[in-house]
Amino acid sequence: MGWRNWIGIGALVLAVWAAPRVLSALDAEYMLVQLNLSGLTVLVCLGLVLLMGYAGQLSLGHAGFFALGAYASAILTAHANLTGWQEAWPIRLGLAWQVLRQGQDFMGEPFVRFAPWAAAPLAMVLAAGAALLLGLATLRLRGHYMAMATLGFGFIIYNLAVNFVSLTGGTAGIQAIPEMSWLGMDDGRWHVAIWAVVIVTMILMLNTTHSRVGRALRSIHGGEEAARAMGVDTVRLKLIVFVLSAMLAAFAGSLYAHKFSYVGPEVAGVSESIWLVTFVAVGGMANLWGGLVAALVLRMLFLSGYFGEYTEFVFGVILVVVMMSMRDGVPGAMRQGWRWLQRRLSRRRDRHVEAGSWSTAEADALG
Amino acid sequence: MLLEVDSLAKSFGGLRAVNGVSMSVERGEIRALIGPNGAGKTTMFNVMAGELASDAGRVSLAGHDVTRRGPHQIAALGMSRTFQTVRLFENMTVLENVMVGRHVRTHVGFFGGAFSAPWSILEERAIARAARQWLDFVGLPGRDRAAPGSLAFGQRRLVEFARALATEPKLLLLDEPASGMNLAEVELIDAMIRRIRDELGVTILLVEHNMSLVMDLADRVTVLDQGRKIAEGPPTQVRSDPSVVKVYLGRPAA
Repeated sequence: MGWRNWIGIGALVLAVWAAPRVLSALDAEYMLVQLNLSGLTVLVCLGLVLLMGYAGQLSLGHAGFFALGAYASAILTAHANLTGWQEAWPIRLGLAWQVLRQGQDFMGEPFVRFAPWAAAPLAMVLAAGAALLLGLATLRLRGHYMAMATLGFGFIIYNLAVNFVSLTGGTAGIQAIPEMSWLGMDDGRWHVAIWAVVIVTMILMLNTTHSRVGRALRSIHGGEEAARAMGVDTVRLKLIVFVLSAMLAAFAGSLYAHKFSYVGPEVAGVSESIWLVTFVAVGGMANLWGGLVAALVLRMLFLSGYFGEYTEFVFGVILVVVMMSMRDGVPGAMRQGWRWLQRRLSRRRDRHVEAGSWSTAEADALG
Repeated sequence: MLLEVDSLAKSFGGLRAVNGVSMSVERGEIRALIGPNGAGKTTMFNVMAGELASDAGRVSLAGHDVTRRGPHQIAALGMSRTFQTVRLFENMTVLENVMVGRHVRTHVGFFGGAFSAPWSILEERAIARAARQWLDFVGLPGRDRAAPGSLAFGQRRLVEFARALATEPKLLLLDEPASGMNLAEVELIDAMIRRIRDELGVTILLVEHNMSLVMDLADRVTVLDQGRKIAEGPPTQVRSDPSVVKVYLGRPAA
């Protein structure tokens, strides 16, 4: 994927290592939790970069997959109870392998539930299934239909979270979600864990986008009919990317559930989905690094409450401005600015050339 | 018979764009598909290439029934195409455009790509090498890193040729390859198409309005008008066919 990207990875590793120490020195340890949350946002947004920037599909419901992961993990580890089937061999096998665990809840009732590390893959499978169904139904459709379907999906998940009280706890959500061993409640350890996942995901995605698959995805973006004529199975690729991005979002949701020990319907909100799309757009759509930085910076800004009640207003303005004049996000605007600067500088040089006695060949070399 | 089209029909609403056309193209042939505007040539192309579903009829390529197949499957079976308005991928370099042409003959997927597996790296090198060879073949060496937008129109067309050739087709569909070309460029295209058939053994089916190119290049010509085939045969024979003259000039030959 090129040495430049590896340098970026190195810088990221360094930053992740340094962050807790810097925050400690600045007496701003409370920001570590915000950094955790931002890391989870980055994870979801990386999947969206692949989906929106490379496969060209707009998902207005990705928070739904995040919520699916969070709730699935929460339900499997804190709400489910397989005590009735304790004698069945799958349950005993699960207990033996520590996929399941036994215990007593705060009321003294015995329970058999999933262990956190086992619930996460199941949550991802659930999200993959949902994405597969949604994708198969909508990916062959033209234009906005996929986006509308994902919007609908987001509404469905939110509504289920609020109304299916016996399963999801309704507006109260699910509490007392068990922690993951070794990570527990320690912000520092979670920081390392979450950002390690981010780094690994970045590496895998950077590799992918620089490979044959990445080129096929870019060709879909560059001209779907021509891509098909060259043998690219556009429907299958778009479906795979959709499912992978859903699984990533669900994994982030699982981590969220076990870090914060509480899951409520707000994680499934449609505005959440819109924020995610905004972050990716500001980052430059098909730009993994841009998406990472944008998601990190904007989410931290969001969490800091800097804009108070006007937060949504500010983000709405950002989204409109980016869509109107910065289609390639901040990186694109920076590139344009750089090119403009280069042109201005060379024009100044040209004026000097005319005034001086340089040969035309040298003048050409400058322009 | 490399390509066999049997009673193909395609309507758009009430308009019968293709109305029961049958034709077959022999291996190694250069066949021209001509006819006035609206005759159904591009529709036929799109149906043959799998981009449009036919209403009736069959298309078979090298013995395989491709009537209901999608474009990517048809590309795998050996049919490739170029577009009337050259459709390059503007978001990647010239070399990468041609490398996409290799997609159908290569197979490293997500897993190999994500982990940068050794077989993935090897395949990528082979793809780049092949792409460069195809760019050499069409006469554009050393333009690897150029952006498609920076090339002249004629050069863009050549890149599209290279990309289509990179799929190693048995049959190449060319949609008006000479459109927008001046006399010198048309000669280059003529020579290029000949080379593709003579040196590579690729069968060519081209839609074209440029009659001198058609007369010079084609082994046989198929003439469509209003969705039906009205003549077929060697160029000289078709040219003097009264029904053909009529549709082009609006009156019987004097």
